[in-house]
Amino acid sequence: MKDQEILERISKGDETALDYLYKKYYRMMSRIVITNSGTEEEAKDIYQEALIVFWQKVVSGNLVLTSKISTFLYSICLNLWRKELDRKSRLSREEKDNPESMDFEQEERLRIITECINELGDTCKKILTYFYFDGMSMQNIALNLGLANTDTAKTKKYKCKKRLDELVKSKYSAGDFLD
Amino acid sequence: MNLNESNIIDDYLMGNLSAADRMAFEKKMAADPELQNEVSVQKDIIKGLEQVRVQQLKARLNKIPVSSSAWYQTTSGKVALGVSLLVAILLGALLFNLGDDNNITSSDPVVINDQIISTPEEADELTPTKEDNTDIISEEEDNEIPQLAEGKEKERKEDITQKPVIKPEADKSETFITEKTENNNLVTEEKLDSEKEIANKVDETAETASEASDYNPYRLIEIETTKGSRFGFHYRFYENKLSLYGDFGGERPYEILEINNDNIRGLFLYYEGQFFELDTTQVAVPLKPLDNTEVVQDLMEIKNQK
Repeated sequence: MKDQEILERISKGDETALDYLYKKYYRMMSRIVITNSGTEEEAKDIYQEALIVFWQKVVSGNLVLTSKISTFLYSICLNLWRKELDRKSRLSREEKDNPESMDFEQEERLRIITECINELGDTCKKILTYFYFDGMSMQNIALNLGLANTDTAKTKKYKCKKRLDELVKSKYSAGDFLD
Repeated sequence: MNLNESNIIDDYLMGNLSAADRMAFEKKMAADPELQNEVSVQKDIIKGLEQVRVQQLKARLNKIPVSSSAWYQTTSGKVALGVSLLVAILLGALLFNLGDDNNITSSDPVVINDQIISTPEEADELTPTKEDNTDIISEEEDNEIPQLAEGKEKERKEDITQKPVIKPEADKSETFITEKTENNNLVTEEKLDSEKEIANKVDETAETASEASDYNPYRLIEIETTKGSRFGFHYRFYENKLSLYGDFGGERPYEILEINNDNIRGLFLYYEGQFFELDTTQVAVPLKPLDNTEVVQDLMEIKNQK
């Protein structure tokens, strides 16, 4: 598959094109991490994150690619790995002073929300993640989910979101996060 | 909250508002604690959706088998099932003369010549692509790359035909025999009887290689056997060059198999009824026969299919 075809397919939200890309550059990209004091596991993680960044940019139409896909992915991997190395060294320095101060409340809220999202039906889950994470257009959402048209997708998205809001708010008040 | 308001919150949180609208919204929010609260809940929800989606995509990718250590290709699912066999049968019997040049007869598969003393540079020339390079080339499926590489391959081909394939070391107590074969993920079998034939065969393989340069254009493997005292029965894989140490004499040939199918992947050596796995990432490793009978059976089957 050529870059152009990959881009076209991804921009429509075709996840098999992502699989293809993943395999195609796996070794090239994981090498960046492995040859820079990373493990295979870390390499995989970084490459997956880079691909997801790429995916999101292409699906949402926020990417004008002037280079080859491989070059672009390479630079994302490099940046992500630099950040990770940075974070690691900072962590080891700070460990002595403040033992981890994770935002417990934030974590708990996210946990509740994830629970609520998983209570939604499959279509709702897809519509909302496609819209809020992928930044997919309503037209492509309708296409991918086999909905009649953009308006159907919009209505469906609105209903799903309302349902999620209600679920979250009912659980939030039960957990006393809101005053 | 009405539809309009929720749309504005979405747009605000997703960064879709213009600078002016954003400022207006923030001003409104500053004066409205209820709106503040709503925005913070919506922010959490979007974060949650993002997290769920990222996990979903990662789970999807995690199901795809990949490995960075292996040097075979699994590019598109369709081709991955193919069995890639590189068989280079080297008639070892006559190759080890241990400095006794008189032993060489016309039927010798490869002429041993100690006038040519190879330099490391020469060896590099014969293996023009370094490991990294080869990687990138074989990863690429775009047409431009194979074309580029095709040119290289022609050069390489010439190298092989023109240069003597034998590289005796300065130290006469050790004899080096080097043979070159090319593998293009096709099922190839080569029985090398004379130096000339080696060249011909390489030509042939190279041609098929450029024809079927769909992916994984080719891989150059250099095999070198050394009967020396430094190592017993060892092998070494360095920069795409396989060196075998130890006594591979006797009447029996040895075979190198590159296999890439569902169950077995990797490079194997077959010698005197035993299979040895060749790890291409190690330096110098003693050869140990495989004892997994299932794998040995599979290998035997593949070997006999040729």
